[in-house]
Amino acid sequence: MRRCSWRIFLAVVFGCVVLGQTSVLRAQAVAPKDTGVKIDGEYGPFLPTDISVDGYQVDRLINVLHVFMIGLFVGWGLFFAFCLVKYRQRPGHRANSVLIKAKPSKYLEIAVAIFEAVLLFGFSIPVWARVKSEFPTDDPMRVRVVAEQFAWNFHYPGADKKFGKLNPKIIDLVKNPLGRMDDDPAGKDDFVSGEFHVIEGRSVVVEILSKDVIHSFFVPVLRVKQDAIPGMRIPIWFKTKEKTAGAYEIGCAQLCGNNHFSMRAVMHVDTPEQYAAWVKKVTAPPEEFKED
Amino acid sequence: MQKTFRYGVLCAFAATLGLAGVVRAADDGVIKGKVIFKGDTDKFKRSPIDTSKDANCKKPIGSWDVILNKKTDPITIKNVVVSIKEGLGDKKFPPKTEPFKLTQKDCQYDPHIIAVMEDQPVKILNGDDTNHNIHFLPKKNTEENFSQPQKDEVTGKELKFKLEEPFKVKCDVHPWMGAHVLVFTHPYFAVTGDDGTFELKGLPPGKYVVEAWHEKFGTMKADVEVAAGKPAEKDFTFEPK
Ligand SMILES: [Cu+2]
Ligand SMILES: [Cu+2]
Repeated sequence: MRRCSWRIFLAVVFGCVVLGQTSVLRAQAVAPKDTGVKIDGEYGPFLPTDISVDGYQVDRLINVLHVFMIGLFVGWGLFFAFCLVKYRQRPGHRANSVLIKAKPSKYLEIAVAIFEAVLLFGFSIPVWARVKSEFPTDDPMRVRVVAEQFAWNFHYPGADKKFGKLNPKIIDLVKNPLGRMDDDPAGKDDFVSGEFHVIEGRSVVVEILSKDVIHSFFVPVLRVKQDAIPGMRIPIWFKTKEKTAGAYEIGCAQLCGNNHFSMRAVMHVDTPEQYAAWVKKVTAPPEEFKED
Repeated sequence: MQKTFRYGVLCAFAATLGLAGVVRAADDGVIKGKVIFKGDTDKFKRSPIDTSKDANCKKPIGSWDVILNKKTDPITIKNVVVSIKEGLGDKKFPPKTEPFKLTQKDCQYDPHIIAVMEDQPVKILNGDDTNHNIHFLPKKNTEENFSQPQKDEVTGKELKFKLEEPFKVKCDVHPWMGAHVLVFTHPYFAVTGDDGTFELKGLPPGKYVVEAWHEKFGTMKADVEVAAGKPAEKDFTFEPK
């Protein structure tokens, strides 16, 4: 009887894993269609295509962490099983749950704590500080990404490389989605689009803003993910590899409301010529709309 | 017993017919006219809408807050709602049973003005191959907010509004998408189309206050007297600056 219920339990666990995995795979299979354009790159159950010059570091970190975690899991698991068997209650032997009071294990624990402190203060924080405060100096493109429920806006500073002021009071969802001010000279040549265009092989500094709730700007092929927080302007940077022109998926990685699932956009990695053509197209003065 | 019942039913039927005849004979008043635009048409050009947020929205669309019918003479205004504001007394009207169809097509609402009676079903359809979210933003009625991720012309969701008021609808996925809902307690309302005309039919003779509503130009009221057998004519002229 006992063995039977164990089997049922294992079957349920296995079933959940299979179902979960297939739904993940299915979600990835429908992703490109929903964006309305053909999405480049390989997406699957493992890490997607990497088009960022720094992406390999993130991948390496993910891989190293997994190997270490697997090692820890197996090691501790074996030790746990060993203890369960060795110290179990059996005829002539009582189970013992009293903790060890030996000195060596205490020293070991202190050593582990020191090791982890060195990892955190000696390696993690300096690396993070560098990533977050040192920005590329090789004439990067600058783009503002403004998240809203449930869409992305991309604000380009134009030829003067200066962003014009935004005034939320004059936002018009049809004609002026970001509240750009006509009287700000810095904003004269700005333009806003729902598409994200960058030039291949060039550094990009992105400032991330939100109009309403917390969103997260996620570009899997760049290994870039940063929360968009209302009231804050958070800069991040990346650089695409040469010869990576194509269209890639942008998603929102922070559950932000009932249409979070369809909050996506397309990142177009352009050659310089393609980029110039796109800029010309979006900055052309609009013609009066006439119904045909 | 059964015979009496049958006679009773017959009598009731005849009486209903007779009554309907009387009501119909009386309620044949008509108010008709057009909504005229006076001013500088260049100030109210339709601008193209940037739909680049969703590559599924391929067809070019234009702003809809002001649509002038430039081919009519004089120039008229589309999407003005003309309705009876006062003069119907306490009369109660049964809701229209025919559902009002609201379609999301090419990432805009068709039609742009949803003029319905209280408790009239509003059927919402998604005609696009993309996800739409319908967010009704009333003050008095119950707020509604749901998505329609699948292209589906057949089923769709049905809603009913209970209280008279004008309010907005928007799509949270395509922020430019917007429409207006106007709910009435009576069936006497009309929306101007490409010819800028309106017609309110089946009115009992009497004195009425008629209102014209436009989302950008505001409202305008007029007193109209309806006599039996002769349509009353009334034009509204908006002169926006
Ligand atoms: Cu979001
Ligand atoms: Cu929509």
